[in-house]
Amino acid sequence: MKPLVAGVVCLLLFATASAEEKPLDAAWQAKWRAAIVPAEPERAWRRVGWRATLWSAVVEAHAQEKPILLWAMNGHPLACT
Amino acid sequence: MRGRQAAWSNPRLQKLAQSFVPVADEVWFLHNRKGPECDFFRSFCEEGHYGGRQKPTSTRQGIYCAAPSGVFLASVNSTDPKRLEAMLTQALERWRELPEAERYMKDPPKAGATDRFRTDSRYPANGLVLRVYTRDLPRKNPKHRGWRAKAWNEDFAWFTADEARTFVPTRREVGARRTIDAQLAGRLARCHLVDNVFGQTRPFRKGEIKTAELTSRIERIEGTQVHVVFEGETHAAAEGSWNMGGLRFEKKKMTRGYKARLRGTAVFDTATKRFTSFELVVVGDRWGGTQYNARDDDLEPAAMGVVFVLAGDSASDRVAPAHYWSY
Repeated sequence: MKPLVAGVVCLLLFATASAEEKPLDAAWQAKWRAAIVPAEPERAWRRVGWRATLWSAVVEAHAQEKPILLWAMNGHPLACT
Repeated sequence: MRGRQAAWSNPRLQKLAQSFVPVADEVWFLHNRKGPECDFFRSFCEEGHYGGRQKPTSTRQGIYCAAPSGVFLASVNSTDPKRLEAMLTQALERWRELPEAERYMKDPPKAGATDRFRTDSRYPANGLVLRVYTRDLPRKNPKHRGWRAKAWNEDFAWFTADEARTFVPTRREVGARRTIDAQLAGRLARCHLVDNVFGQTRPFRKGEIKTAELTSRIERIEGTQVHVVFEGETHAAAEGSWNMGGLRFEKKKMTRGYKARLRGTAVFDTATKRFTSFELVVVGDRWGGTQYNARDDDLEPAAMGVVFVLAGDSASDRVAPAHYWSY
């Protein structure tokens, strides 16, 4: 019995999205939303408190008397990089 | 993108970052455009890890530390937490050694002085701003290990107030339907239903959109709250010769595309004329690749998902969409 259950679980896990022809309903939407949107641990990088523009950091660094840490990438790191 | 999980989720780096004012920004803009913040970046970036470099590219991307005056402290282009920790520690040592007179600009910088140079200034404050997530979906035979197995990417999608209202049927009664304007649905397919899971890619061209259909239907109405359901399908396909392989610059004859189904829900408040919730889920097959999206070994059709959700309104939610200039 156990191998049969394990087999069914594997089939469910490996069912690909593209092969799925289920109707588009609330359950479909909820299932794939949960699979795609980053979970809380994946959003930990935002805890750094990144400002979104260099100039706003320059202004703030003067006020707070701190140095600037700049993460500069091709594509904005807070959006698509 | 890799740095989100490999580096900046690290508690030691997060603690070190508290000694700085941390900022993320787009490097090509800072390196090449006009305005005081671009001048500020150029005043120190040549002292960093890519100073003077022109090949294989002239990018200056990386992590930099600088005094508010623009005095360079340290830099590195790495996602290795140990290398980053060493660089941040070195930067703080130099900051402590820096004479007070060299730490700050003579004239304090004014807030907003650079706004007119930035795409972010076109933020549709009264419109609809969505956060967009992309991620590979489970396969029968998992292809990737390491960071690519867990990768996702993010972007923003912007709609003006007039565009946003066209997502809701004009006739405000249960069952009323509306076909979303072809130009708007096409823009979603061109600029947002793209494979950027592992890195930057290009938008599709208008002629490469084979199908872009999205309809809305009123499911129920509660006072001023109109509950809407979206459904649709898209198909984008491009072919030609373009560079692959990142910095190897290998031009290849290629196809790429994304064919998907869409379903979403939203609530539109007729009193404020704003969406109070919005979610659109897209699931389908992508194929092919582009120069910087790291798909060289993964060209066959495979499942990828995209989700649009309502963004917040903090400064970090006001970053312009990657392909805004293709809108």
